[in-house]
Amino acid sequence: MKMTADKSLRDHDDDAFLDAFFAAARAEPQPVPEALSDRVLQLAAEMQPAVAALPPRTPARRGTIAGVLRGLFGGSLYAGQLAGIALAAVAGVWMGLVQPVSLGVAGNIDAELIETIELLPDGLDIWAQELGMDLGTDESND
Amino acid sequence: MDSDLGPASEEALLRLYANGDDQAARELSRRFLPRVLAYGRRMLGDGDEAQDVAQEAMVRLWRIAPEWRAGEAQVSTWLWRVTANLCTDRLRRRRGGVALEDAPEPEDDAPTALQQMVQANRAAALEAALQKLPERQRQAVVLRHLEGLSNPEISEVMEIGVEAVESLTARGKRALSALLAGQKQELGYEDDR
Repeated sequence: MKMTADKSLRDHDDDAFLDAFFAAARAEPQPVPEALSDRVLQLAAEMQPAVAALPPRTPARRGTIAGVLRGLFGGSLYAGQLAGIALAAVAGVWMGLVQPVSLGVAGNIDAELIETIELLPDGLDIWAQELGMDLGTDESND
Repeated sequence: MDSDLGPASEEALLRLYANGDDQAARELSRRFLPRVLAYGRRMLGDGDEAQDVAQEAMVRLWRIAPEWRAGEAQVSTWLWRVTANLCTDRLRRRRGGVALEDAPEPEDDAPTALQQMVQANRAAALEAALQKLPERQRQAVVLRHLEGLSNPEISEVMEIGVEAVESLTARGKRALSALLAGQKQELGYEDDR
């Protein structure tokens, strides 16, 4: 019993004694040499899988939205990015052209506003033709 | 290795890196590189070797990023285990040549104020004493009391049971106390009491 108690007391004293040393060691700065940090980041860039796995650039057809965008961005875009930008561009145009319906206080729809609302396939087609874009739309405006 | 946002963010960073995010690599490097380097220095007692180990550990992290399976392990625990194994490999190779007693001592920092001098001397004394411990005791003590890992985390890193971790830590601390006891006065310990 006494040996166990003595051992516990000794361990407790050891802990208290060492705590000051552990605290001092933890507080010591551990600088990372800049050259090491640069090497690690350089290796990270070289080994980064997503960049290595990107598909090769495919030339876009002339007259398509992708072709126009590639012309605008100097050929720096990949096919997936072009598709996303093209879709966003068409959606943005669509939302800008379609006007909201304004409801009256009692829920009555303003008749004048209805007459001015245009769903705008006509305008969109004309714009697309001017830019030489192929939206895949049919010729009908109705 | 504590992260500000917890283990989930470490996985998220690794996934972002694998998906091409450069900033994720910088953040992972900022969080982990200083810690693996410090661990390497304490285990190997050699700054150059510690840099080699730290670089190799980070390379292995970059390599595993696209294959990392979410939820299976903590990124930090995995990286500790890799770093510990790299250090063990180096120490085993070293034993074929230089004896442990001849391992290089860490350099003392130049003191500025008295308290900083006392702290720096204590840190240097501890680092030197750590080099005299058997490798497994040193590993357990460093991970527990300098890197702040819990016993279950250490058992995962060292691939031993929690009781074995506790035993190694206790034995290591008793050995350190004995090694440092003769320097109490010059290290200013008795002035603290």
